[in-house]
Amino acid sequence: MTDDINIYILSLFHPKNKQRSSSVYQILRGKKTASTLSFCLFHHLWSGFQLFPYLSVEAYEQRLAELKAKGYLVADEADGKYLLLSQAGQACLLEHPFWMAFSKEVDHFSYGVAGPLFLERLLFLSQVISELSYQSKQYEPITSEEEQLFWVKQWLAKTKVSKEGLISNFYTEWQKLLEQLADSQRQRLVSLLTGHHKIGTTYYQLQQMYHWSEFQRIAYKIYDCQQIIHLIKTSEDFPLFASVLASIPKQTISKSAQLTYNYVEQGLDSVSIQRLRQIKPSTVQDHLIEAAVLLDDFSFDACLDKQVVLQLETYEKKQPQIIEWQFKQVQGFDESISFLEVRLYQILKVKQYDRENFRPTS
Amino acid sequence: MTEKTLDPLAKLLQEVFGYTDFREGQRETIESVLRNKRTLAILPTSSGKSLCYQLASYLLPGQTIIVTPLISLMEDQVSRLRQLGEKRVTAIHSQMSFQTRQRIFSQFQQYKFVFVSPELLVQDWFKEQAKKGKISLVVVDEAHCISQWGIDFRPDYEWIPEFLKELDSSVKVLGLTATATQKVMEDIESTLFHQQACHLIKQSSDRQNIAYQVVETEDKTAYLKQFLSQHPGPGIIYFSSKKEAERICTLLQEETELAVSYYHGDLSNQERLVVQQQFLHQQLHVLCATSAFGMGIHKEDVRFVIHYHLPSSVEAYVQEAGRSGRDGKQSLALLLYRPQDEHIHYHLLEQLIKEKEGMAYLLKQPEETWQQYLPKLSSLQQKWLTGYTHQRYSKETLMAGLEQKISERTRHIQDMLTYIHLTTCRRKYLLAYFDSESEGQVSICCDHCGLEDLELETVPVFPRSPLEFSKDWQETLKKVFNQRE
Repeated sequence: MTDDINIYILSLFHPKNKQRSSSVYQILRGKKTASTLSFCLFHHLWSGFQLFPYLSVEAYEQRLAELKAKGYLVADEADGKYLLLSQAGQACLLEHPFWMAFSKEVDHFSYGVAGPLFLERLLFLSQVISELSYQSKQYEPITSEEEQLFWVKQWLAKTKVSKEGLISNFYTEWQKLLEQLADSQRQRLVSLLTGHHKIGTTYYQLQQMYHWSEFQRIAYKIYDCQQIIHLIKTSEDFPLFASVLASIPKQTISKSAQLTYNYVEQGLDSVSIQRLRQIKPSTVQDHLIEAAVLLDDFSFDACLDKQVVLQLETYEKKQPQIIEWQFKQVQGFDESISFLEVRLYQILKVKQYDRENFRPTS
Repeated sequence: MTEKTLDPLAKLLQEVFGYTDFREGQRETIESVLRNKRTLAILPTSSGKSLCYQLASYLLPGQTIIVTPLISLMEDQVSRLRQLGEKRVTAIHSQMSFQTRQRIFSQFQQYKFVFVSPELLVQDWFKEQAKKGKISLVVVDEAHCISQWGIDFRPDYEWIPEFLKELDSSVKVLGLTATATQKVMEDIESTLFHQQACHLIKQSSDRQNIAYQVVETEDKTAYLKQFLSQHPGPGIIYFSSKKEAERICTLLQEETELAVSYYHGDLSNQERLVVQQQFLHQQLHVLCATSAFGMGIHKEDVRFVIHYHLPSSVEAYVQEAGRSGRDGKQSLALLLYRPQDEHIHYHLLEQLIKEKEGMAYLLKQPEETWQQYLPKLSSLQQKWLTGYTHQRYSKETLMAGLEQKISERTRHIQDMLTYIHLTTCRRKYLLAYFDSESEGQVSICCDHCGLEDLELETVPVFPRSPLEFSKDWQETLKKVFNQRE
């Protein structure tokens, strides 16, 4: 019997694209560096970013050893530090569709913190609107946090529709949302709702009722949040819910990297930015990689010379597996190309591919 | 006091709080606050301590600052005041975002009630605001924290006197606690009031409707199941570990017909409030909780409080046991004991001794070498060191304080064990512990006096399964948002 955490870790590996096991570990711990962010993008591992912030190397290695012993993961012949998903591993994953979906659809980098907070706000607002629909003012709110109370007051004040319109629209959004979810998710979300004469439940209580493991409880909550967020972001049917989502900042580019990128947008070159910000060349490089990975509208044109792009396109024809490129090999092809240019080109191409294949990028 | 001056109190009690009578000690406390500069009120659990400062505040012109040890307690008090219709209430604590604090400060003077966590009292920005405001009263809730938790747990409480010194001399101070031995009382008087005279209100800690029992057993869960089959609650079972609370909760869910849930510090604020509401509104028979549950939670009909593990002190035990029987009906405080339960407390004590010894070693080293030891220090040791480097105490005072803390902890464990192994009346022991006196003969007192006549009223509980809402989710949704066809 393989436990849920092992199944999930297994789902992070690929049958063809070999992955360095230590890089996967850094992602699970949530190490936010240019290198791990690129790795996350290349191998589509956003679901795992900081999912286990306290995972020790020993515990992680133990889990990998178990997966290898079962023949689910195999070491790459050329370099044992790289792992591949075996056929047996693929067969095992097919028996666990939830973990495959979780791995594929969840963006724990952007919404690991924001997702649960969004759900809490949505549930609190639902309670407030439910009580409003019964014209009830005497009730016990399901939050006592000053920030949440203030937020809900502000949200209601900003809403331009009439009270009746608000209640009806809010109800309709819930209805449309639930209609689009799987039965099990719908059950969970309806049971979580607190309103007039209805006290909700908690994921902890659902865990006990359905005999979930602790990790399942955490994962179901994350997955539910992600699904709701996905529906809200991809449809115009949820303007009220979207405004709740907009009130919560998702994790994105660091302030320092943003500042560096702002200078790039203003037309400054790397040397000027280094001087202006008094930072090392490698830091500017890291900032630009971070920005390229995380910003949807990153201006590749501003950072990649057309000639370089043409050169790399030629190289790509020879080596189409972009994410496996080694910088030294690219240099062997054209020594004038820098590491930053190679990395930015890789990011550009992976993002293009993901967009064409509807794969969410963080 | 004349009838004329008494009337406004009773009138306010009815108008704002909806009660017709004061509970014992409330009126005396309120009157003392209005008349005196310093009041210390020691009122038993469930005596309505919060109402004392709330009502007094309405008769004072300025703001009331309430220093509260726990954020959850603070937020609970804010909610309760809001439910009474009071909008001029807020809480400020260190976990708030900078923006929220700024927003509160921008309208600081508009608040009548401001709840604060003690660590904020040393912050300059808070002191500035407090000086600008018009403060009439400072309430130190759970005032025993100054003594009981002292140097290791709540050093923040020691900053209160310093804060008080900076306020206008006319500001009144009220210390409130439910559990204070003579020694703790003296500690509060000397620390909080600088030995200055304070008006003391002390009510007997005797809760006559609570019977006390200790059961020594090797199989606590078997005993629990048997007990619950006869007494379905509502009741609280206290645990000293979150994992055990979860484990026993699952076991009771699976092996009894009761609706059981758990409550501990890992639950989010929203999850805690949902479970709390389920318990308050008769949807749960039993709550398996850690000490995170309790302070400020008012459920009248809790029929029993069971301690699955050995409480850390008699004070903690009486506080938690006192959450039963707020409605005055017969209730039970049951402690389950298995020999060697005390080992965990002795283990923690040993850790404290080691930390103290480590601290003593560090203080003997040249100060310039301390930096290299910092990563190895425990969080407690870091707090002690910060206190010293901020010149809040000398090396000698720190070490003497730690010695005292260790001997107090040892005494607390021993006192708890004495309570367990008593062969005489448990109530008398508890009353003597708090230098309190019995309020009269108690017919159902404790296991040594005889519990043959003990009957705990069964309160109807209506468990709700999450599934019942999800079967017809559309109907549920319509009901939640009051939508008719």
